[in-house]
Amino acid sequence: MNTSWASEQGSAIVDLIGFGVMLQIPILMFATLTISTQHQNFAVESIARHALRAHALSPNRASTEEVVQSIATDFGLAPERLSWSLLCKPNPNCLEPNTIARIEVRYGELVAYASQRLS
Amino acid sequence: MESLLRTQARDSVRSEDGSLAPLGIGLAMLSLAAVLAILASGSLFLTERRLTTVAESTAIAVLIDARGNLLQPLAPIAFTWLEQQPLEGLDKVQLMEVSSIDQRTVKVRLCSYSMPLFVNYMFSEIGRVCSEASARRGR
Repeated sequence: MNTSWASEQGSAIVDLIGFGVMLQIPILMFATLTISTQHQNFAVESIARHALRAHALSPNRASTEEVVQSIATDFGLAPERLSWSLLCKPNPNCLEPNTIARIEVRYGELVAYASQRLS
Repeated sequence: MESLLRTQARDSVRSEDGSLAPLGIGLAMLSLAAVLAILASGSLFLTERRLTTVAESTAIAVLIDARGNLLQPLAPIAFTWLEQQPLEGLDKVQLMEVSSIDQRTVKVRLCSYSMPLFVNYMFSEIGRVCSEASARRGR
């Protein structure tokens, strides 16, 4: 193995396959994985934001669940990995004015929060 | 002498001699840079969305907590609300402006620092992101 980097000896096919497989494919895998995670992050943020807004407009769990599922479907998330919870202070039933509602949406390791004071 | 150098330079540009290795490494670096740029811009957008959500909730909270009196100083109300927020995924959130122009609308402007994979000097002021939201009182 006495080949230097600048040497013209060798096969172009080996170079092409070597660099294609060893460099480009890991980069492609890294890009796919991270962009997919970022896409899920966008989805979780959107669900938290819009579900809380929906709950503020119509404070019942069924309609909020509907919004959550609808956005999750739009983003192509797996429903079994998605969970959300709504916490309200000081009134846990989330119906009284001035209640602070906080939603937490989880999708695997990803989590997003949104808070709003209900009028 | 000068023409000889020119000829050599032209020949080296047009030459087909050389190794594929530097080309392959260069292409890989270019691909990686493109991927990182895409991820950084996505990260910046995500920070902006988070900040907008917080700005909206702050504007609504100020509108409710001011109890109709939007002539009073609104910044303490906004600070109180922001202190209660977890502000997950946001770094150094600053309240830049909270104001009411017509005594019915509250405008909130927040700034933060995005946390991209690398510091993006080209498209932002060292990763600084600002977002604005308004809330308007009904009848």
